[in-house]
Amino acid sequence: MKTLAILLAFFFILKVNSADAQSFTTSTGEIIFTSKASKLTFNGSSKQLQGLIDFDKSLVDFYLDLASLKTGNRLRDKHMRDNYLEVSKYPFAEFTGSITSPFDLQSKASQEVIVEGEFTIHGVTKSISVSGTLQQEGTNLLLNASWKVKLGDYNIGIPKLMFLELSETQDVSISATLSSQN
Amino acid sequence: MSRLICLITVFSFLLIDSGFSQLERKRTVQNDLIELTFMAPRHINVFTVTPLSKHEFHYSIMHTFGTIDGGVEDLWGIDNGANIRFSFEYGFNSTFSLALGRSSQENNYDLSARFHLLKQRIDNTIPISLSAYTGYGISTESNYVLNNGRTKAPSFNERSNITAGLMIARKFSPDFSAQISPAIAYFFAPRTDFNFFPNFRYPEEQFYTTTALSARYKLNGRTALTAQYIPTIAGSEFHQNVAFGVDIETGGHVFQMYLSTSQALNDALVLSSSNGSSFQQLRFGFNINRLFLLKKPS
Repeated sequence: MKTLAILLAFFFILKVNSADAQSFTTSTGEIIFTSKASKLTFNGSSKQLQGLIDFDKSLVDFYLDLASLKTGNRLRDKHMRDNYLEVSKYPFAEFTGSITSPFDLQSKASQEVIVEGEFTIHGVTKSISVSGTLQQEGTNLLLNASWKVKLGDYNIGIPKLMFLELSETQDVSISATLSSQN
Repeated sequence: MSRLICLITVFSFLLIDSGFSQLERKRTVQNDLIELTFMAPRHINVFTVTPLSKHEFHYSIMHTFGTIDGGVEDLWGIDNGANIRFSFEYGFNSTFSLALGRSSQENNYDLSARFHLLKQRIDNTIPISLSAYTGYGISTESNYVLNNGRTKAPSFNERSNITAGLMIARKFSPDFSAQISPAIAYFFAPRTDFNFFPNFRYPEEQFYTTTALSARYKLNGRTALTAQYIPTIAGSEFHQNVAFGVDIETGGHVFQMYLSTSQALNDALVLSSSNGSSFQQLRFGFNINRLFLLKKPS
């Protein structure tokens, strides 16, 4: 009986603890990629980045429906979806990982964080490390991060005749306001 | 025993609570149209259901050469008798475009309109794409041979032809697309009356019909194998245009290289005068399609 009481107490503490859980989500995160090639620089963007940051579980989980990316040129968009990203086969870009640097949940200052995890696009998964900033503002969490994606790493080939127009390395940046789930 | 049950209960709660719960992956873009059923508005010889966007411009140069049986002597036909067609097509919106073309064969000019009536949807509420085209063409060749008792030069009318067709296509998978295209061509004078194309034996008919089949299979994002079959009946003669090749998309350009039994490039002439026969000598052909937007995106 004593053991049971201890166990119940333990369980109760855990439940209390998880009531304090710090979990934030967004469904309107913004993502921008920039292709800087010698002949042409262009941007693509979407405001449909879906994300979750859960400090209790140390989980950072984001995904994007790649069909929502727009570059301001419908023709380029069609070819990007159909011939490069092959969106009907691989609809999402995904990142799942955890914050590996310390983060002070009591602070309201902008804090540098490092996130490590698995990034998947075009059916290829790679481990990546991304640095960015997180800042608590009221009940929200502001996120900014950027990194580089090398298309060849994800089997997204660039036709040789087109190398002047599409950069092998794409600069990707995300910004989002995540709201607390508590 | 009750302790054990308690323990199990508590631990199962703990397990659920600390579960690694990712976001459920859901498409956020719904009900989209199937895109790029074929890589270009033309697939070897045949108009496709692939529309132009608003203000999109499609410029194509098509070539066919002599038969490949000459071997290296005439570089597998490339030295001989190139037929060249230029065409410009402009998309007024995503359902209507106009195309102007000129073929070196018979110095034929043509004007066509393409309408996209149905567009296949990803969710299959519309399982096919349906488009239609109609065109007018005129052979302006000044060298010709008068036959069948003709004594006067052909009139404007007698040089003219009209065409019309439907394109019914389905993208069965991201890789495989097929199209069936019933089409007709009508010439205002029998084709044998004026021999516009030297050394060619024209059929006599004025009216031609076909049901063309086109298919493509994508090997990767930007390369596809292509094939077409255009059977035509002209009186007692049966002709078959058989072609197969490869499409390569290079960001704005689509290159189509193929071997074909027919030298004709525009719709009316493919249906009538120089449609080939299967297992007849093949010819090398290639099309360059350039697609671009006339208006800078805002």
